[in-house]
Amino acid sequence: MSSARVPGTSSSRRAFLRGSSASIAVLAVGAPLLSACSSGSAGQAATGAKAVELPTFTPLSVAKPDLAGAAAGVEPGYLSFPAKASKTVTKAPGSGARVRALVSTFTPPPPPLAKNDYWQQMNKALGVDMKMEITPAADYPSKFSSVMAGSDIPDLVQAPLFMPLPRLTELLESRFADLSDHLAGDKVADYPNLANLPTYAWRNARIAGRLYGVPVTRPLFAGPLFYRLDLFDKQNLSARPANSDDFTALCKELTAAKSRRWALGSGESSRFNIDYFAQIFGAPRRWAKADDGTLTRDVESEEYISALEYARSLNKAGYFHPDTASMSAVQAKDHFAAGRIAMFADGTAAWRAFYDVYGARTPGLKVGAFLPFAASGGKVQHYLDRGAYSITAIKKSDDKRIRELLGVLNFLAAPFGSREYLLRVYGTEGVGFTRDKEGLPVLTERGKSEQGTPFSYVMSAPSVLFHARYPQWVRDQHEWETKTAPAGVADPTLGLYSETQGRNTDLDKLLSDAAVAVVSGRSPVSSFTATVKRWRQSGGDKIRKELQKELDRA
Amino acid sequence: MSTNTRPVWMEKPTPVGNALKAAVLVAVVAVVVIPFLIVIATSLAGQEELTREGGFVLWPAEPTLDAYRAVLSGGIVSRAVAVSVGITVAGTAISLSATVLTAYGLSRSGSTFHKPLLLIVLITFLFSPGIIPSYLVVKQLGMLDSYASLVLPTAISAFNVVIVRGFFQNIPRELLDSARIDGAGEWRILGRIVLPLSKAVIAVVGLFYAVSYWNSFFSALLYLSDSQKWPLQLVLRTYVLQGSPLAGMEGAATEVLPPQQAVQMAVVVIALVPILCIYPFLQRHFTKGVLTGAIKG
Repeated sequence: MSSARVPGTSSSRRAFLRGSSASIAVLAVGAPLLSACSSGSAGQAATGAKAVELPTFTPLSVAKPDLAGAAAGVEPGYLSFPAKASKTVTKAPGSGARVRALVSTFTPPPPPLAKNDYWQQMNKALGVDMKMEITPAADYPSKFSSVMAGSDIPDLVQAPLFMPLPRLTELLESRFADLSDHLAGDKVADYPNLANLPTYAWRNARIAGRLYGVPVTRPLFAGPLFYRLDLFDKQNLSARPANSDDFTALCKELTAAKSRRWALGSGESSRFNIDYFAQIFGAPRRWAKADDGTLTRDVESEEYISALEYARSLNKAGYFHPDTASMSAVQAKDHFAAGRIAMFADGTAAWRAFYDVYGARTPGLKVGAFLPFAASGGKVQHYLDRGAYSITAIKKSDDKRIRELLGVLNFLAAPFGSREYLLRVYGTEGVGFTRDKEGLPVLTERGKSEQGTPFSYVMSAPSVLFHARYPQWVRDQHEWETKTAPAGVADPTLGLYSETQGRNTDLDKLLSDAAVAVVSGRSPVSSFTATVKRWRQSGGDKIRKELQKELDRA
Repeated sequence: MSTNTRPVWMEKPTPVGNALKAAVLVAVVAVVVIPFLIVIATSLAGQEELTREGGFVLWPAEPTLDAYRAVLSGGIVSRAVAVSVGITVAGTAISLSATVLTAYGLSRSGSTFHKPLLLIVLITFLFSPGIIPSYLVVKQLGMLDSYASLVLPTAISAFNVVIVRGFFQNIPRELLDSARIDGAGEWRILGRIVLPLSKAVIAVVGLFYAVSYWNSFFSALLYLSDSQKWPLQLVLRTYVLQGSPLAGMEGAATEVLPPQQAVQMAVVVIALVPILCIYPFLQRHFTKGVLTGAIKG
């Protein structure tokens, strides 16, 4: 977490300590200030009204994939880059007006507009004068809160889904346009590229029963447990354990502490892969909905406790890399690439990233992913994620302006293989990218730095599997997704909003800290059950009640 | 007291004592210097070596400038350095003048509105307004998205005002009175008598401000929307906080990326170098300035 420097203080230690605690405190205090700026309408949106229909999914086939995708979340795979790039948008959606977009970025800032060919070409193709207000992703919550407190809202705002926002529903209603009349059901047909966005992503855009934005899609499956296929082959090991005992035996084979090899390991934020173990022990994905409709949290289930005990036993046996409790994710990945960690849990996007970052330097690198298995050998499950990184909300404006902005988003969402996709992801030929001898686009140095212009965070296409240099990875991941899809288990409260959860960001930390303490051996398992009780009393039960109410309404 | 017995610390040191002291000092120096060495060394290392060693090296076997090339290409960092230097220089100048004037006025107990002004300055010691009220004030003053928002809201720090005021109060009244008798006005007293005597404290406070401006990124984050105006720390933050280089990005053909750790360390080195260069020049003022206010009279 960054140490926020609050304006108005010097760099003295006293001021620094004050500053960091004050800024966190004020984020909570600042929330009531938001209400002072809102229209004052009561928070209960669409009381009694049924949730609006999600946009009808109408797949577009711009470039035919070699490995077909599926609505259950399997991404289409391409073994070669589509030769022809066809247009999906006939006319520039904009009218030349200025559009302000507030986005976060993970990359360094782009060159200025005057020197940025990519930005200029995108403006021309979109028919707008796009002004990007960029913030580093880690600091986005502060920037977002401040901008929302002022009355000068940009036209397109990235509402990050991973950020707990107090009074989100009221914020959206008072500041942002309700897009249900433009996008619900068949109305989305006016924007074919938006209709091509998967339904699981659209679920994130429906808040309090109405559509308030367009989702920026991401892969649906939660990350698997990756493993070094080449090392497994060398030791003749199988990555299909039948149950948790098999897995323990596997860990034993892979660990040789004297030769600096360990079976498992993770960065500090992955917390000993507790989520993965919870998954194989059958714990629910955050919340479970019983047949009678009641919600239980994963930490309250027997399965979660079993998972904790299992992880604790693995740690005690020394199968985890000794730095697991403290190292960064980057360091952990380095260990995985060097063979010091044999199995590594990460997001689905990491599979490709391993090859990209380490492939050229680590000869023979082969990464596989475990298929779902159950600790008891019974029913398997695999957690599903939200399927979206953020939703792009549109400021309250007149109909014409909203249609114009939706047209801009439609352009940016053009699928893989289209002319618009080529422009958005690579830039113009000759300047942003060149073609290699196989006809594949390759970013130039200029193209790489200009790609820092975050159009892709305003809106992007549904993800596909493609890599010029590693087509085998495309096959591997596609096969993994196809086999895993039937076991997908989602959080039933996705898209539902709880006020208490939005306000209290430290409740989850309470649970995760307690879980880490148990697995690392510092506390007994009984302390975890005590923490769960505390969680329930400090807000957990309240969250459950609120989510239950939303669930019953939907 | 007999002249035969001397206090322990005045005795001639024994060889064993010397060796022990040397060992402790070497250990302390090592603890301070080695992290610096590791930062510089890691920034010069290649990916294979980093993967082999597990993230940090003491000295690279095959040094390479890849990380620096990656960070400095694109002109973004060079522009950010220029912005940072400009803000630090201008900001320190503005802050120093404002602080000295405020402190001087408040050091003379008979001045107009002395008590209320002092109270206002000291109240800012107790708490700071917080992110959203600051943002709203800057917005209403029309300073959003301008360099002024990086300097003016934080121009005067109550802490530094109190330090300088304390020093000014220690200057003998008689000196100033005799100057007044000779016909000097307040400005001349300030310029000719008070300031030359205060070189030490001004150097210290000036360095406090300079370091604060150089390191600040949060104001830039909050008030600037044009990424061209970003100061160095904010740009470097995006490098350091990059998770996976391909987080959320598409793109087919890729290239070999410079190692994450090396890039992050290169960024740390670039951010440190200017301050490390200025510090030695101001050091001689510190020994005197740091003791300001510690010994009364």
